Amino acid sequence: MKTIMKAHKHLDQKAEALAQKHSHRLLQMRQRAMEHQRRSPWWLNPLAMMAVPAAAVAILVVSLWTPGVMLNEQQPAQPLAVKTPAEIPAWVADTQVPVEVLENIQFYEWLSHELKRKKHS
Amino acid sequence: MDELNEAELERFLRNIQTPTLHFAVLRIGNEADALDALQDAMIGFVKVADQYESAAWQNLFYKILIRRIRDMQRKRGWRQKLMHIISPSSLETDNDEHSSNPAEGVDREDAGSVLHGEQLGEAFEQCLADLPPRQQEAYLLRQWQGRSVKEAAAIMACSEGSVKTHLSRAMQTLKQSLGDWMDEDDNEST
Repeated sequence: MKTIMKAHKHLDQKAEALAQKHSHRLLQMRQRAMEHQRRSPWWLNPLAMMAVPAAAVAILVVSLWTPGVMLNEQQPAQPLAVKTPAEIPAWVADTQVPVEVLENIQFYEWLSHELKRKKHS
Repeated sequence: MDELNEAELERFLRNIQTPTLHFAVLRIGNEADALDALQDAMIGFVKVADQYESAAWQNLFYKILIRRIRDMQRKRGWRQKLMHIISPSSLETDNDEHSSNPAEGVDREDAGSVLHGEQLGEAFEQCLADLPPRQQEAYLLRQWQGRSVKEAAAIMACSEGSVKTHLSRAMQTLKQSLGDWMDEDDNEST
């Protein structure tokens, strides 16, 4: 028998001896591996099956709600209440000035009035 | 997976555990680590086994095992490097342990007369353990396990040419280490 064949035979014998020595551990290892194999994937777990749609709904609700809230926050402040025609000075009423400009004028009037009031107080 | 396949899988693991355990021990050089690597490989294997034909299971198992062993050795390498940084004096000791010449592990004076049977096997194993990892893999898969070059290449995740190169270098080193005794023995047997 050639040396290399002898050496390979030795390797085979050693492998058998090792397996014998650790037979109990190897059995446990196989069982553990088979348990892993039997364990179904997490997405098939009943709890996960309920949790996933619930989480999806929660994300959807939050995503729909958040832009709404942000939009509300970003909305410009309500314009000042427009004065009744009786309160509008006659010179303003006679002109063909657009409503926006009138509103601005009213705002600045109100602002100067407030500033004066604060100065006095 | 149905019960039949489960039984087949269990049977496959029982059959492959013996050669693969020794393969892992030879590659790692430590029984405890080899058992851990084999356990990881078994778990990794059963998770993907149903995606392959049972005929491909052996190569798949070896492929997974080799990957686990390489990961383990990479981690161990980093740990050793760290230890060397922490304590440089340990470097000298480690170099002494890993002899560069595999033949140094064998007492040449006595070897000529007693390297038969058990002792020859031990000396051969020592030389094998001192081979670089890829050469070890190529030798064990091709020569000991009798896999084809193509199969070994698939398991080792390299080209067939690389397997041949690693194998040729491994054979050369083994021949250098045990050559004299091998020739004597061959002459005796012929």
